[in-house]
Amino acid sequence: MVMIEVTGLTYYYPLSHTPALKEINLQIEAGQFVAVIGANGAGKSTLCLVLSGLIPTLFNGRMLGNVTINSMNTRNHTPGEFAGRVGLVLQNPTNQISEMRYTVFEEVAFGLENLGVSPSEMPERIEHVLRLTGLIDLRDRSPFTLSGGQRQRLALASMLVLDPPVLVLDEPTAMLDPQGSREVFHIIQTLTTKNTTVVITEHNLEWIAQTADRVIALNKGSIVLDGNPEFVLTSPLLETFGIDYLRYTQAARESQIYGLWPSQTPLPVTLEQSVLGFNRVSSIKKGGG
Amino acid sequence: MRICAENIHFTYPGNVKVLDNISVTLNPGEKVALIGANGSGKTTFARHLNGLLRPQSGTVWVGDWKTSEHSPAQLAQRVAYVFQNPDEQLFRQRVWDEVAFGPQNLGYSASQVENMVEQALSLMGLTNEANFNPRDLNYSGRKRVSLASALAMQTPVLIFDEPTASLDMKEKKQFSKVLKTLNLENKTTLIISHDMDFVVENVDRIILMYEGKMIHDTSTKHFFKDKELIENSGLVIPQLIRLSQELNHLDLALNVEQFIKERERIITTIKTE
Repeated sequence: MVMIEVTGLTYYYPLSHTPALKEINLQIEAGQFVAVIGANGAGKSTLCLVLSGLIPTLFNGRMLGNVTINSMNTRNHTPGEFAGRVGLVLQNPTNQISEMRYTVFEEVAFGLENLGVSPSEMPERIEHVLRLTGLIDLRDRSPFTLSGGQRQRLALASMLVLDPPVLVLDEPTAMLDPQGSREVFHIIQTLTTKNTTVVITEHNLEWIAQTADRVIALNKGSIVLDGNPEFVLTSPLLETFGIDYLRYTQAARESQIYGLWPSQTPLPVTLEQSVLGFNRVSSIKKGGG
Repeated sequence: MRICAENIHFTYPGNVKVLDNISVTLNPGEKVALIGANGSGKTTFARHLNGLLRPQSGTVWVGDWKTSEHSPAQLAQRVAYVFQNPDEQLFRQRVWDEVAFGPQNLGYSASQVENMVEQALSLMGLTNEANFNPRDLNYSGRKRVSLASALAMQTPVLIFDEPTASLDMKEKKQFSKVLKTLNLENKTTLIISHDMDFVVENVDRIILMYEGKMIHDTSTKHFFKDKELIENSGLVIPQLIRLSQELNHLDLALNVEQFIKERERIITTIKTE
């Protein structure tokens, strides 16, 4: 089943003559886990706003083409109607916290209240996501006293509690340490097993290589690569779009020149693939001299 | 300029102990990374070096100055500090004015300020954005403005808190070049970062903080030998080091060039056997 469909999308921000997104056509299946990569300014965050239905209704600007999320055309529905259907976690969590609630617990309850969830159902759902996101001990703290990483988890918790079928995450781990990132990655992986559709922009390519079903690379507002992680992350074009290779891929790319990577083997995107490839060359040399 | 912390302790109100008997020296011309989990005390330590915080016991020396005897404004002549979040530090209407703010406050003449600003803008690739309002730039653009503002002050010591967070490949390469230039000028640089792949390729020495203590302090080359210590501290081992370890390399590679050299050595050894 197609969950998100984008046809002929071009979008200009107000007062801008250069489109932030250009002629985008895209179909995302329900339950798919899609990573969007690209240099800064390529259009990643704008695409997140489009895929969560905030563009075009909340932003002025000019949009050509159509976007449907769960069969709802985003031109015809307000952001309020998408609440609970699409969760969006913004790059800067401070922009997302309501500033109307005094505790972490109440902040997470805010979305449920707006959707009219019955008060008796709330505590259990809230405590569940607070535990999931490692915030349970901070439940009575004011959101304003949280660190950047904790706020990022609070923004995520506020979306998770609504249990939306589509979740759009714009660099959800930018402020987290490696341990915190691992925890968030783990949460997201759990979601994909529950058939939640996930779209994420993320700089940690190693994790994307291991977990994403599909990677989309943007350059200057256009989709330039679209496929599985192996295909996109090893593309000879990646560098020209201002996107770095994984160090594993880079090491194998340069090793090829010296005959240190086996000629018929695709470039690696994981540690395991790298180890296999490099060891293959060693064993060939041992056997053949 | 040498930075020297001697037995410093710091506890936040509410009895939250953040620095627990830290003694460390940072030398001129040294590029040092300070790493550790969120809450391990990295930023609190760094804020002691420019006088934003004062040790409750112990002494911090910046050259021949004790931080306890100088104001943050005075210390700004010696130590530039770039915050993790650029929005905490940008407040002027024009990129040029923002970058000029530091040198102006340090009392440089108008023509000196102009030179310093132009140089810093060019180092961070912001020359064409000089007349923009910093708020009209995207996050990484604002980040580069905050980095340029620190560079413009031309202080002997620079501290960068998560400088590469949200920078892309091109911007990281640019910043890496800036670090090399600072190194040639014999500046003391301290980088707080979670970006391990960037850290190994760009610093000479790594200090690991854990619960308010500096528990590991050695050259980048030797830092990752103790695999267990790194993993127990919640850190990620950089990709090339992990690959070197898995392939049983004697020499752990810090960059692709070193990795290939070691591969060549191994293959040659196999051939001659």
